[in-house]
Amino acid sequence: MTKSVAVRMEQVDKSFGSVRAVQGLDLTVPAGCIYGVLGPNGAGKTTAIRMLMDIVAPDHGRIEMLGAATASSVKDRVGYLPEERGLYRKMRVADTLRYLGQIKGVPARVLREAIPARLEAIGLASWASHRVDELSKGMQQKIQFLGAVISDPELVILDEPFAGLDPINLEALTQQILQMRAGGGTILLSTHMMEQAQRLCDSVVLIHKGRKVLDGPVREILSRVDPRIVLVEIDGDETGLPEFAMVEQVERHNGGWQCTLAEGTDPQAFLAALAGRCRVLRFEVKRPTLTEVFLASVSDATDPAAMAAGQEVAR
Amino acid sequence: MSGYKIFTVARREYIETVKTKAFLLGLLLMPLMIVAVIMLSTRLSVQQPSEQKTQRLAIVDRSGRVAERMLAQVPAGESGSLQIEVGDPAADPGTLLGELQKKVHAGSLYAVLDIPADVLAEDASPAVLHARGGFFDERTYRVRGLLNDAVTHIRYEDAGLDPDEMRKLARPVRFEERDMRGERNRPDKQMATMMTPFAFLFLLFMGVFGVSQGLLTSVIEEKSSRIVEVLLSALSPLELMTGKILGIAGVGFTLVLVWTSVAYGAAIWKGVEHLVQIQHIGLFLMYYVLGFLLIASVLAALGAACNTLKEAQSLMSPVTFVLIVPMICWFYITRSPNSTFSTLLSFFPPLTPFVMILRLVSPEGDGVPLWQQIAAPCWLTIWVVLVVWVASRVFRVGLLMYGKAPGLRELVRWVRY
Repeated sequence: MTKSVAVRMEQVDKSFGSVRAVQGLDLTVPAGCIYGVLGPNGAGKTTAIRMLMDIVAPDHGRIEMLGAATASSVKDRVGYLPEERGLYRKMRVADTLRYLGQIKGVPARVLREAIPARLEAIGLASWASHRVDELSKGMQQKIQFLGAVISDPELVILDEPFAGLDPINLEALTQQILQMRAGGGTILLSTHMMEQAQRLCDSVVLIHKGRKVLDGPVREILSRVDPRIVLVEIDGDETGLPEFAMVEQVERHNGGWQCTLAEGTDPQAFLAALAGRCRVLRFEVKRPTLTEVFLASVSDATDPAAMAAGQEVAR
Repeated sequence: MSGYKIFTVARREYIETVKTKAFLLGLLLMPLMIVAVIMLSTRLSVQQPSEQKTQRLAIVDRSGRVAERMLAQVPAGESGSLQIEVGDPAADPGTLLGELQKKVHAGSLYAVLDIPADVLAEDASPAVLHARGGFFDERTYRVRGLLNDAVTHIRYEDAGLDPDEMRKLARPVRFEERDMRGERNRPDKQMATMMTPFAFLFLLFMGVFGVSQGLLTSVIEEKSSRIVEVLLSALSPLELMTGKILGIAGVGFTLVLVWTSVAYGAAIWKGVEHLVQIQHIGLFLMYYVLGFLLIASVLAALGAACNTLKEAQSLMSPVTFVLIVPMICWFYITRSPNSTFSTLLSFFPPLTPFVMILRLVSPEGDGVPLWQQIAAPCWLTIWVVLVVWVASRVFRVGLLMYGKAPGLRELVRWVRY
């Protein structure tokens, strides 16, 4: 295993009774990136993360983390924010962070300086001596996140970190994650928020029904999808648009037209053909979003044949 | 296992527990109870019969001879706090008894003594005391004594013997009881001798069972607040369980230290400190540690297996049921520490600490065979190791299991998991 790989899972399986939560999962997370684990509810994301953290043992397969055979031996180098998370309600904020730091093996003298600075950075410095149950839900989520990263871990695993956050706190958390990557850290996060994932993640893996459906750098995944939708505005006879053999479907869109091209059609060829017949005022190839890829992949994945094809695409 | 992490968990558990009101209440309430019990028992034991309220006793004498003699024994019609009145001999005994019984009901009389006509006969009917007092009323013994003296006196006279001479001849032998230090045994000391093993048992029970219930609450709190997964990302289940048990053990140790100090102070105050020997303290500490480890690890596992305190309480019922056995049997075990029952009970692991401390601190504690004194803690230690291992397996799996509380079969599966 090279040093540039933070996490590696090979053919990992996990079942709970008759339910196969994770099936033959392969995953390689390079160090120093933000890696998103995407998938609908019940896809197996949390189970995969719990196996990574050695909280649940896999039935089969191999897991490596930070060069070690198990997460247990590198626990102190990994920060973890689980999906099901809580805090000691009666404990003071600073005491909570000190405790979470110390059980990660951070000496008390280091935490004495680190805790006020970290609280200052997220705007909660004045709440250090307050009890946790006096904080708002958003503040508590910030403290939970801080608890996961208080030990300055090399790898941070965040299970649904954005769930329940308002836009301001969501932005604050996003900035914290970006800062960690800038500092050389590796972040593995699971989320339902596709826009956030597309904005933040260098790479994503899409899991559906326990199986990997898509995996790779975000830009590469988006570029794999044929850009079949173009937005056009033309000066001339618009009624002739559907007559193009290259066009499968035409709809009105913001004063122009949204054309879905036939499979395999090169948008440039369509532009050339269009320009030969009329004056083109606007021509925009609509880029697919991660949400669209997600939805398309998940609907494909309900059919085993399509899922196998999807995995081919992923490779 | 990391000592630093275990220490961190133990320290948090200790500090967060001693900051609670329940701890402060427990810390202060027990010494107050000890002092209150001692003051109350002292007050009751020093109270003389003359200080008690005078009680009126009416007699319906169907024999016509005994009541007169009873009054003669008590010239002023009073014996200490007892004032005797004889019912009208001319009245119908049945009617008279009915009227006097009404007075007893009304509270103007303490009791009515119905003496049968054939009381002097060999095969006499019983004399009946109709009283409001319950059983073990010491006034009953006084009335019985007066009646016996009167009847015996009349029998001597009827037999032509001098009752005074006869009483001299039948006077009881002077008898004294002294302990090994040569001190006379007084009723209050007798009480202290019997109560000392109970005090040890009670402190041990509260220190082990009372305190380890805090562990159950704490585990359930961590599980229900969903912080447990964060903890498990930094600690192994065994580190977490060990830290929690040590922290709560520290809480128990603090309580027991304060309680025993107060109890020992009370023993010095009452002059019975010799009843508590230094080896008793050593044995107490040893059985406290072993008992605590055994019970606390069971409760930690129960806490991990349950989702709510209510679920845990229903699973705890059998544990409580077993642990109160020594509290029920303490008097028998203290009086018969070497009986088969006491010996067998002291080798039943959950009860070993409690039964052994009762046996060893009892007045006949020196008679407990040496092999049992050695075998019991060794046997208990084996069980402690086994139970802690099983509990850690249940703890590890149970912490992340939500939903319905597991049955016995499910728990066994967790242990083998």
